[in-house]
Amino acid sequence: MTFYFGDLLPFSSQLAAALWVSIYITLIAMAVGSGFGVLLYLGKAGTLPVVPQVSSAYIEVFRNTPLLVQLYLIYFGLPELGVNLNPTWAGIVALTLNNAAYTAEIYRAGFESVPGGLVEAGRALGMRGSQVFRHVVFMPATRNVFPALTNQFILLFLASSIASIIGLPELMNSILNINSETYRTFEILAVGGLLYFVVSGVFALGSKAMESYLFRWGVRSRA
Amino acid sequence: MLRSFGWQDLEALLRGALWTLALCVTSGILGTVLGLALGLAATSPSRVARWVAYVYVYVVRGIPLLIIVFFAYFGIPLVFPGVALSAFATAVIALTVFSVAYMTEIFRGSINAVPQGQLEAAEALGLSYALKYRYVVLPQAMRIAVPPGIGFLIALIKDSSLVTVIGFVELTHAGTIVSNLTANPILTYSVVAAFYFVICYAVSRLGRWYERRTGVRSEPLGTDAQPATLQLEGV
Amino acid sequence: MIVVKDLHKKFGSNEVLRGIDCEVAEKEVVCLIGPSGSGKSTFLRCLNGLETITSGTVSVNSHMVSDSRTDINVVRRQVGMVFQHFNLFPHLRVVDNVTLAPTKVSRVPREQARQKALALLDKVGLADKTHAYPGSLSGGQQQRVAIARALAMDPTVMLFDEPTSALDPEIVGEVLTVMQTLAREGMTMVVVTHEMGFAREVADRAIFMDGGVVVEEGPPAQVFGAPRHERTSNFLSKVL
Ligand SMILES: Nc1ncnc2c1ncn2[C@@H]1O[C@H](COP(=O)(O)OP(=O)(O)OP(=O)(O)O)[C@@H](O)[C@H]1O
Ligand SMILES: [Mg+2]
Repeated sequence: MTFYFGDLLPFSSQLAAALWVSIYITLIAMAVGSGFGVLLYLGKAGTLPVVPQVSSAYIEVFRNTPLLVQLYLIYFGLPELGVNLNPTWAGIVALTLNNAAYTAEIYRAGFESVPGGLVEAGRALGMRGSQVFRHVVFMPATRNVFPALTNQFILLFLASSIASIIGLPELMNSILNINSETYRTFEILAVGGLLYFVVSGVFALGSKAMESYLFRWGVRSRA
Repeated sequence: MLRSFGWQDLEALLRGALWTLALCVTSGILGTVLGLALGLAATSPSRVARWVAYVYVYVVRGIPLLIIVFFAYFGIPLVFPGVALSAFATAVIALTVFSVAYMTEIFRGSINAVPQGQLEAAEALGLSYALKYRYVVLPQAMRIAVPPGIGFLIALIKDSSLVTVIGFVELTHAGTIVSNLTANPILTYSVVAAFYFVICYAVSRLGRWYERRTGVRSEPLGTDAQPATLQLEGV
Repeated sequence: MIVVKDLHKKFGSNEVLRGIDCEVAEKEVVCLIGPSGSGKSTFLRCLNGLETITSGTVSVNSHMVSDSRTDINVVRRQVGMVFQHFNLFPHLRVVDNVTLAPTKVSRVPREQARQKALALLDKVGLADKTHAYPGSLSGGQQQRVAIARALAMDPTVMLFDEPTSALDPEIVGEVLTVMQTLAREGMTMVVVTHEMGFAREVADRAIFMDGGVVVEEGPPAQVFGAPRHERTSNFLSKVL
């Protein structure tokens, strides 16, 4: 068999557009999902009635079932309840909810690694619990888990390809469309794989740079 | 044509769950064996062997599993036109290619976690490379590898749902079929999710039991086969 | 200023403080000494509500710390605390460590808080380190920042829990000097320390604690020079 990449050239702008979709759904799911993840952690670690059990159950359920099944439930199941989401929104919602469960666990490790003395110093200065959390604990915790968070980001980017199965027009979806138009299966899978590989590599390098900028105040501590 | 969700559907899902297990056990075993080989390569003195292992790991971990699944599905018949592989075999190949990369990382990490003093002691006794690994390094590394290995197995069980795209009737695909027949996606996929949950939760309990019994703990953040950061340096 | 009556503190079934009565007057400097595990830190932490009180009463500036209805943060604003391990906020520059509580807790305008922080850092001899991160400072420098951070809230009482025991011997002096200056300016201070020299020179009163009770108290010269209790002299013979 022979390889010929020329047939793919007309599709390059389509690929670029689809790649951008992959990146932005990942960004949304990461931003919203990690915010939600922090709330889940706080709910789980807090002392309110019922909330810890609900948060724990949420985290366990989402971490112990496949993203694809979660996606199916949202995309095929919700219409049964009268909620119709298009593939893009269904994909974003599924990735966000899924990511929240993982970041909640990542943040748990992060917050548990912050030395208790910092919390006490904040409290001794008269700060309320929420102030201690925001101004004292949050940054050291984030620093301690930053590599895990960026790793999660990359996994999320790769996992976003799963949304192609319900027709979200992202990179993987575009790859499959181009395959059925050109029958250049090997070539388009190779190009698509390369795109994912390069972009996740760029994310990894970018996160290193970001880490050394954001956390120039010190090295990571292991608790 | 449509009927309501009944025992026969539950049975169909159960059969799918067994296929999921068969798939994961097969590719998990193949992935462990080949991953151990590549893990040894990654920690060997040979620069070429290390390089091969690194490239394999970085490439596979840098692309989505779906790409690998489609490569296996479309690619194998193109390369070997005469061979008619079953959907199960294709799925096993894809999941094995995937597993090997993660298991290689796990074994590399575990071998490196064996204290340097152990290697020096073995060398001081005059053990050859093979003997040193056979009797000193690997027995210790294997124990360290169990918790992250179990974490990866859970990830594999969940990720195996993706082979639904090539038409292999594992748990998720069985769910799609049942859902179409009963027009009851919420119930069907909830049952599917419950099956996955029970399997994964049981496996993770097993992992915790091992950790308690042996005192070998996985890294704080490595409990869910979340591999260490994708490092691009040090290749 | 500080009035403690029959203070008891239990951790589970372990009774760490067994009935402490103590008063600290305005501008008084009290040194607390005693063997490890005698409850010195626990006592200090009861004074600003970092530990909940099992029974008895503690009042600071006539706020009832021991009363759960008291807004403890109001008390804490008036009580500065300095820890053995500094506990500086690692992600904030020195000046931001000092301004954090005034701006967030007391809502002092930024610029005003900054001016004050610079003045305090100058006072503790760290005017040149305002923009450094804590991680790049020596232990002695970090502890002086911690003192400035506490002073920025304009406390009327300062609590010190072994402020020099995590420091190398040659830099203990720089921290003690700052504390001595504070004492001379009339700050009310309760200091847990094993620096007998400092206690003798600066303290108005020394309290010796053991097993969760006050064994003996009095002018430092008397407690150190002519202890009345055998437990005190035993302890002193070990540390001196
Ligand atoms: N949070 C806690 N939970 C349980 N027990 C505690 C706690 N904090 C202190 N203790 C116990 O209370 C006792 C007194 O502790 P404390 O820290 O007050 O002693 P100390 O006099 O400050 O000793 P040191 O000189 O070592 O600092 C110790 O036996 C300690 O184990
Ligand atoms: Mg103490």
